[in-house]
Amino acid sequence: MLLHHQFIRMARRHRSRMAIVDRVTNRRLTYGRALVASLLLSERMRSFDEGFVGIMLPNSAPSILAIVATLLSGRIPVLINFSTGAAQNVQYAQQKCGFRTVLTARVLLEKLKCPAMPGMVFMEDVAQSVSFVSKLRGALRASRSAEHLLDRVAGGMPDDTAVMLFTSGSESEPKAVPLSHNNIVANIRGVSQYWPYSEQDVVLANLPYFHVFGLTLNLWLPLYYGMTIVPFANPLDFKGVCEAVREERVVYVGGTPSFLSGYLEASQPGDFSSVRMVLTGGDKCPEMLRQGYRRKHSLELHEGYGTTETSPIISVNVPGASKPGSGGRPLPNVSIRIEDFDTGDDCPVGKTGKILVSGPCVMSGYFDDLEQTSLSLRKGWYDTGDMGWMDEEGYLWLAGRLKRFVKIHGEMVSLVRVEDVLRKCLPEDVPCCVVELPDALRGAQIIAAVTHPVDERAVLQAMAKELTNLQLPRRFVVVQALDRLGSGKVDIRAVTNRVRAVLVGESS
Amino acid sequence: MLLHHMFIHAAKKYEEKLAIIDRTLDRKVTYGKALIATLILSDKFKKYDPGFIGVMLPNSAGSVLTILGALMSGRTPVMINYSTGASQNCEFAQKKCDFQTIITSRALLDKINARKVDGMVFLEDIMKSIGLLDKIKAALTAKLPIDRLLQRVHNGPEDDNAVILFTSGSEKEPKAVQLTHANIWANLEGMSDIFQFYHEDLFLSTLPFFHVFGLTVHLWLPISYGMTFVTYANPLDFKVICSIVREEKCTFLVGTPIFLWGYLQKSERGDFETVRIALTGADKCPESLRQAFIEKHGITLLEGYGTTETSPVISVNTPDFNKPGSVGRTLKNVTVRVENYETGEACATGEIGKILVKGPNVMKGYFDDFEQTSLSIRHGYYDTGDMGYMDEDGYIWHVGRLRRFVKVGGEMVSLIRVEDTLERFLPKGVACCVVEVPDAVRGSRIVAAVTHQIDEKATLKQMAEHLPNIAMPKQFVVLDEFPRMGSGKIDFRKITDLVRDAAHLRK
Repeated sequence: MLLHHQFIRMARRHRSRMAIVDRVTNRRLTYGRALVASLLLSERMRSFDEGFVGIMLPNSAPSILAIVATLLSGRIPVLINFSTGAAQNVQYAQQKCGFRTVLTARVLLEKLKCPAMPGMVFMEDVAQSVSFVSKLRGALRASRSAEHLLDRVAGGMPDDTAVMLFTSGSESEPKAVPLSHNNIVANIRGVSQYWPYSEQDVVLANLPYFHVFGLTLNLWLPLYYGMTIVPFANPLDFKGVCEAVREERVVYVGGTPSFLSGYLEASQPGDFSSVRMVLTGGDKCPEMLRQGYRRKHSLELHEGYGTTETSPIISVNVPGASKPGSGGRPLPNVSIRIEDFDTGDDCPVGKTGKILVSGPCVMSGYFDDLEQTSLSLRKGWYDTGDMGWMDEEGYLWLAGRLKRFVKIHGEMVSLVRVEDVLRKCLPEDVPCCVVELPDALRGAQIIAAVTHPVDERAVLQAMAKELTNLQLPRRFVVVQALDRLGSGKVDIRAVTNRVRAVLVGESS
Repeated sequence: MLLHHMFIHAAKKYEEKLAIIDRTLDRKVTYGKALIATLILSDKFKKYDPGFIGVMLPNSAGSVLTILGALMSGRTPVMINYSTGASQNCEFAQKKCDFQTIITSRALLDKINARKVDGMVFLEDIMKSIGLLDKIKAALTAKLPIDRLLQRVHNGPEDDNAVILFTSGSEKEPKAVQLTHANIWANLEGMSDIFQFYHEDLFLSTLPFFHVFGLTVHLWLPISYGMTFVTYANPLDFKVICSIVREEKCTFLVGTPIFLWGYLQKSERGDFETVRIALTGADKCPESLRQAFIEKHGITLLEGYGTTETSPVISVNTPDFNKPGSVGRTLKNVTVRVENYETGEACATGEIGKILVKGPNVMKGYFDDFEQTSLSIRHGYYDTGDMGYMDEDGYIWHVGRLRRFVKVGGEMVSLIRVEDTLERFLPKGVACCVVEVPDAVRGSRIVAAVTHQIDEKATLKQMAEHLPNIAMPKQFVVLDEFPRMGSGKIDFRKITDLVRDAAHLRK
């Protein structure tokens, strides 16, 4: 199945159902109108270079239409992150994938203070250039039967690329991940076997489409079933998000724990009365946040786990099958293997190892990078670079990125675990982050970064009840703040640099 | 055995023998003197932080003694490349491995116009600070019987790091490779199994010690046999190097093909009369170079294959077992597995696949990078990222880096093969480099960069007789000159960037 074909089928079936409620431009598009608009846009795109089309737009009606229209025109959308250096990301994507055209908007560039660049085409101009005649033609075409329409738009194979996304690349160069129609459809189907979706549901689309979670869960999943999407450009506008949820009677909300904690604070009791499901992931979900939602909104938070390379969901907790703190159970069409870090053998239940994933949602390989592909994807198993373990009931428990492990005197130590224990032993208002500095002799040195001075001896004593001596932080370093990434996660790299700067300052 | 212990054994045995002939500074150091010097340096180094110590020095007596002194003091040398942005590489290494001190020299910084970086200590200053007392103390220590002498220097398990080297990082951030004493030792043993080395051999030591080949083959190998080795800082000084080989009567010559070309051109018949063995690697050895060496000097170039992560030698041709064009048979203590790129199944004889390597020479891992380590080493096999095949006689034929393969319409195409074919039909004096440009529909488009305008149609027609349609270049781009890296290898990344820009404009 092709994603844009499924959209056409839905649009023909539910012509008058609301497809997109764009609160910023105050546009409400039914599926019928969304179909006309995307067909018109796709006509316009036929003048673009063939192949890839870059799309750099915030979540909105135009961005949804642009992604759909790109596929309808037989091109492949390359989604570009504008939150981490727009100009640079545009150039990187163009170079990496070998294309020119980037569909974006003047308003966005102004807001980002990003210069117009070669190859950019603006949504504002594209919309204006659509004449009355072509609108009429578009409307006429849209009124044809779904089957008839399918013949007129771009076809293709289910294994063709449906989107190009970039990994976050916090450590290394971003990798280009092509996901096929099959990949995304498999993930949508896998998720829906666990979650009883209803076609009447309203989905908040606050997660940016240049991230896989946004793209699959906030765009293709609702379009696949004919649901209503409420796009929201700025997930950090906590108040605005809460208003949107209340006024549009949103049923599905998702976000990183840091987003959700913002929504919790900005919301009033009752704001979330229409919500049936809150999904979170990308970072550890604090118990306090879970309790906060229970108290204020009588809602359970459900954690899930996924990666760009797996389109994205690997495992998820769902009502009736949930273990708070775990990453949930693998989707029915996903297999997980836990493999010993050193030997590569299968780990028994309860033992921490590397998480490998196989299934129809796994990408076919990084674009134009056979070398990285051959390292990350072996015999159909994608190596996530995450560590975790499975319990007897098949729930996956995450132990952090492999990057967040260190070897001290030959023993693997999880910094995430050290951090969990530290957090419990600290006063509530002191945020912390555990980092490592490489050490020639021991392999690594564990250091606790805190924002305020603490009674180190007392904290260490409390920590020693749960951790071995090897796992205890060697030092506490007071930093001014804990840097955060756009996603709200703590930026470990930046914090490590802060720690290093403090220690270098001390020694000189 | 720890590598610096091995040196002490050699030094005690060959006390009066010349260890280093430094042709840059015209200094000669006997093994006995070298031992005293390293004992002094080792004492001096003890005042720096324990752990890592950076070393950024050109091949010279000073760099040999510094590396030995560092190990004897219990520090691990981190070798820093000064040919690709010295200051930047220093800072990268300091940050990556979290250390401060870097031993370097003022003369080097002046010569390469590099900025001083915090933590740098100059060898010139250390030398000046050496007093009579230091010398007497070291001389006395050097006289101790070997067992007691060994107790005076650092001791530890063989699995401790003997060095940190950085991968070339032509594509990505350099990775910090940890090689242990046991790793390098194993490779020396593997080499000794198949080559006859004698302590009378004389090594020309020009490959930089910040590259694994220089470090193992141009430093540790001669030391392990108590050979004399001749250091010279600049391997690109072709003319000087030829006269050094002649004057010092070197018996071993090792270089990348591009260096060997230079030596060939600048040498006179008879210059290499004393050379017994000439090894080459790191890049494909052109048949013409091989022939020219035989014609001019009667020397057969022997190709080998290795990587930083394998300390380095994996396989090599020897005078008795040589198949020109192959990279030889594996060392006896090395196992090679060739596996299918997609399925991971072992390839049959003659079938091209990914080259994996197992053995005691395989690194412990990348320093402070579990993720990369776990991707690159699985079940003890290091994934070289190279493609090749093994023939029925056990010779390995290297076909190219995996990144020099592309998938066109689902088929694997070797850009090297396209390049080799193209080369055959180019007019003399025209160089070529085949790269790929990403393509949304086909995955990749093959583009040939050439140094002069050529008759494209005629060339393509000739090529078509040897290549399937999908492997034919779709476009030619003329670049006046090909950018190269410090090692003399063609810089594919830069060429690819240039070609992608050019191909774009014409699209």
